[in-house]
Amino acid sequence: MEILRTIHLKKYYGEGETCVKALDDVNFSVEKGEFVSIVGTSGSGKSTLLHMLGGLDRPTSGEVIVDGKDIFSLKNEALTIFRRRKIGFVFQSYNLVPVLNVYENIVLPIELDGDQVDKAFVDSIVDVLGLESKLYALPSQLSGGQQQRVAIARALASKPAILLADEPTGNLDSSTSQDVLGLLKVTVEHFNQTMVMITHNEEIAQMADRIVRIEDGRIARSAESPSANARPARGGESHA
Amino acid sequence: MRNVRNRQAVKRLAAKSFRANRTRNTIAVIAIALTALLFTAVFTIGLGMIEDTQRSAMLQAGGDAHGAIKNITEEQYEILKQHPSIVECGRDMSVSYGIDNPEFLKRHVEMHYIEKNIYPHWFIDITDGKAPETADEILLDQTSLELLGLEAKAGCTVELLLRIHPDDKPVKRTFTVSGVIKPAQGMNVGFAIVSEAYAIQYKEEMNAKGPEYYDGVGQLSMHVLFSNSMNIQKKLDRIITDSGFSLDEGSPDYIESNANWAYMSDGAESDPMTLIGLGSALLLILTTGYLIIYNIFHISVIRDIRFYGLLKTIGTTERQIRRILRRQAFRLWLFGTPAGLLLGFFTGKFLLPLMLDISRLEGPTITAVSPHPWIFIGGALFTVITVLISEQKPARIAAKVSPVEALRYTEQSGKRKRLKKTTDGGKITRMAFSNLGRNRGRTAVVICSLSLTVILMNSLYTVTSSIDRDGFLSKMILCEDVIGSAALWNYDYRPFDEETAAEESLSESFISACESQESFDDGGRIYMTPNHVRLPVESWEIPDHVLKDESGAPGRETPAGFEPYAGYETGGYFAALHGIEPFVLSKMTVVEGETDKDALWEKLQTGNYMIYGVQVDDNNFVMESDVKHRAGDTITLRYENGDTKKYEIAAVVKGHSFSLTNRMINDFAYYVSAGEFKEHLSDAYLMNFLMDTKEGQAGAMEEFLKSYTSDVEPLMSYESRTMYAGTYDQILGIITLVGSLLTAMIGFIGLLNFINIILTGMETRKREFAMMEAIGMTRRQLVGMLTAEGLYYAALTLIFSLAAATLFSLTALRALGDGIWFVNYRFTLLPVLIVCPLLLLLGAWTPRIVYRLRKQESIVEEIRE
Repeated sequence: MEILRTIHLKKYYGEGETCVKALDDVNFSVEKGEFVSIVGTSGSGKSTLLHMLGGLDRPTSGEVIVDGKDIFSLKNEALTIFRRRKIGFVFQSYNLVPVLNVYENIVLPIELDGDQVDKAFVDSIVDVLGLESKLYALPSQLSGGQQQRVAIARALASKPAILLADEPTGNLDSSTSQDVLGLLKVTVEHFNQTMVMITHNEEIAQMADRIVRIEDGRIARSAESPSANARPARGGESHA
Repeated sequence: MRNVRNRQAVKRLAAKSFRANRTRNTIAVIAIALTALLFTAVFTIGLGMIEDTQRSAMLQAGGDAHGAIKNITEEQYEILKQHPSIVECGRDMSVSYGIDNPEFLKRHVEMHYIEKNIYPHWFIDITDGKAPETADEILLDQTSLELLGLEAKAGCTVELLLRIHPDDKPVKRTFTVSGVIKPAQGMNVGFAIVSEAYAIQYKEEMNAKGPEYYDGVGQLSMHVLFSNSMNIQKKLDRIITDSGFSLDEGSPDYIESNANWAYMSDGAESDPMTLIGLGSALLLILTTGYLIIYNIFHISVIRDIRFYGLLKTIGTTERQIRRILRRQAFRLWLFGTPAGLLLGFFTGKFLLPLMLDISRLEGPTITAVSPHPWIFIGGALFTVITVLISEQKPARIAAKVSPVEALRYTEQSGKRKRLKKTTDGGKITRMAFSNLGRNRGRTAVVICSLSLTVILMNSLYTVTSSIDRDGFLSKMILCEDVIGSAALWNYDYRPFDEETAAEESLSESFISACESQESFDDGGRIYMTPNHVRLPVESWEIPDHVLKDESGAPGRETPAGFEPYAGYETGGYFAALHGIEPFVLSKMTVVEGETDKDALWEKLQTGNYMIYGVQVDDNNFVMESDVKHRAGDTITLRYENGDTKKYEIAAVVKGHSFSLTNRMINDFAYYVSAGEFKEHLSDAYLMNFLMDTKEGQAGAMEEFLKSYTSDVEPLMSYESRTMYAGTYDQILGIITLVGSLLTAMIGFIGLLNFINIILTGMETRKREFAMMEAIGMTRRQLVGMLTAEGLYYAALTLIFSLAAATLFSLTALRALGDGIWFVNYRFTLLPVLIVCPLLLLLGAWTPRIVYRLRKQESIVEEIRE
């Protein structure tokens, strides 16, 4: 089942000679349960793509369909609400709310939605990510790896349709990176989540089911990762 | 060379980072300008008041000359004026004891010959025409000319009735008005100036009584100005001795001199209330300024902390960072101060006359304060002090930051080690409250800043609403109206004999005219003379608390020093005897003895009893040092005709110099019945008449009195409760106006502080907001959170204000109220309650408006920053 699709997605900055084509006619899709890495050098447009997928920025033209919904047909307010229900974000710089403790940070998107917190579900996330002992700590009392684990928990807590991760280990040292990535992958699998992750690190990208390479705003190559043997890829071919 | 280079670098850095902080700069410049405005306004008013005090002292002293050498001859003058220490000097001579034109009865005119070159030092300012030259030319002030019914222009002729010496018959003399001078401000006196030619022509007539006659007419004085006002008396003495004259009173060459007492004090020290007022105003402004400027700098330093960390990483020293910040502070001060100084000066200029109206009942002596450099120096200096104090701590934070920490510096770091054991912190309102706690110090500063206004407003209202109008009015006047002769209000009621009394006393015709008025209710006469009754020294045993000098003479302390009671040397103190009618008695406040007024009146009517009036202080409390008799004491009075009579003091009452006596201090004030008074003295000494009007008819009586005293008997005058009520309302209005202006200013600064913290709060949390939006916080929820934050500020301000205002009111204001007799302290928090919805509205809307106005960026841009 296709959970995400982009159709002729374009994002141009500036006009005329100074026009920068950050995204130039990107078409690609992600199946439910799939783990996709998007790799590219800096300036290739990979972050722009992720922002478009998450509805953080509006494209110059084209569509993004998430769970069957053209997200840019929504007004800002509705888009935000759609986002908190359907999309989970993990950022490079954790971005936790400093005045809230770990538990409050995790359930924040649910609270913002005015929903009842699925206690059991949150507990299971906390359990998988090993955060039980830190629930009442404030972000400033945590290490970088711990903070990123909280961010992952937060992204998962609202049971989103898709998880978007933007260089989730960019601020962490390599061993912590391995821990966090391992946890991320395990968690995604455990909760049968779909995930799109941006990275410029080939080694990290290899952990995904599929790697999408982006160059100069265009998709260059899409390949199945060697590590994806255990789980057969389910279609979702895209063309440059 | 190196040093110079690094200074250049610091300069450049300071300039660059200055430009990068546009919003901070705008708010800081406004805050500094407002602070400078307030300081300058206070200095303008303060200096203006001192100027006014000095000026009025000089006016009373007769000018701004440093000193005068008195009663000299022309020959002596010629010798004395040669002295090298004299910078400027000139002659002055009183040429007539008085001018008897009836038009001048309510406003006396003094007549002098004054040498032309010292006109400016006598504040003689010719507005039309020129100085007199011939003997029949004269300078008159504008008001005097108008009183004579003439147009205030040079060239007209006036006929003056001159009473050369006190007991002379007036002579009629015609003058040509050579010029018009400005009336002396703040004094109810006119001036007539004649030429030297006049002084020479009428020399004989003026010296008819001999050169030492007490009225001073015809006696030449020399007014002297030195290069400065130090040691004036010493310099005067030097002139006299150097010129070969003597300072010894017994010597034939004796010459008397005295320094101008206006130079004796600097005007400020004589008025501690003004000084305390000024001091607390300055402190209040300093605090207000500190609260906002500190906050502005603190916020900007925290925001740029990475920048300072970076500077340290690349080798900038602490001192250099401090210097960078100080340079920025100076630059902001430079931008903000000029406008503040200018606006402050004009604000002060506008308020000064109003303030002078309050402090000086006779009216201000200066109309405008001059733009004295000290005003601006003071304003600028105090502003720079405020800025430097405010900048201290933020600069220290910036200087002390370690390069490593700066990179991960979050405002909460290291502050909180406790765990936060809540699970519902994600609720918008809870989150908002937590946000206030991010920097508690700064939040506290904003709350203080806002509360200051509320507390000030509450205090102002408490004081103005606690003022006891009736209490204030009864200090001024005991009944509805008092009528008397114009002389009484000119402090001239002290009849020598029945003949002169006719000019100073109240006419029976005026009383009957009043009594025939529909609005008249009741009234009573007071007969009085200060000159005809003595209290034999031996008949009064001096109580221990009465002050005495070395020789044992009793007396009282005056601003000029100890003054023995008049008449002690001649064996009998002057007693001011008053004869009163029952209505007057009903208005008296008995402090000791018989309190039943009917019984008291019966006692007075026997002729064997009297009432003793004790002096009261400004707060209407009995002056213990003035208590000379107790109820039950028996004293003997000696009348002028030789009669002596024993009286028992039936009661002691509070004195009232405006209503119950001749408006002067009488050391021994006794009240007997009118009948008793007339039996021993005369009904010619009718001083005044106290009366009340029928309910609600005070206005009608007031109108009658006004027209009667100007048309029927112009020599009579009156004063009424209505007049004082008008003055009172005006004073209260001015206090309210000035207080409100100050409150408004400080309130505006508080609001600015609030806006600043909201604005910078939004800017520093931009990324956090973007992230929250990314994870699903809608803008509506965000605005809701900001609104909640604003409301928490408002609520905390209210709680703090309520507590602080209550505390302040119950301590300081209550103490103040207890100290001032016409203030009846009443606790109130009404202004806080009134301001409550306003503050909440402000708290809710300020963040919303600021949020709308700020530059909108997309989430992506903000998240990336």
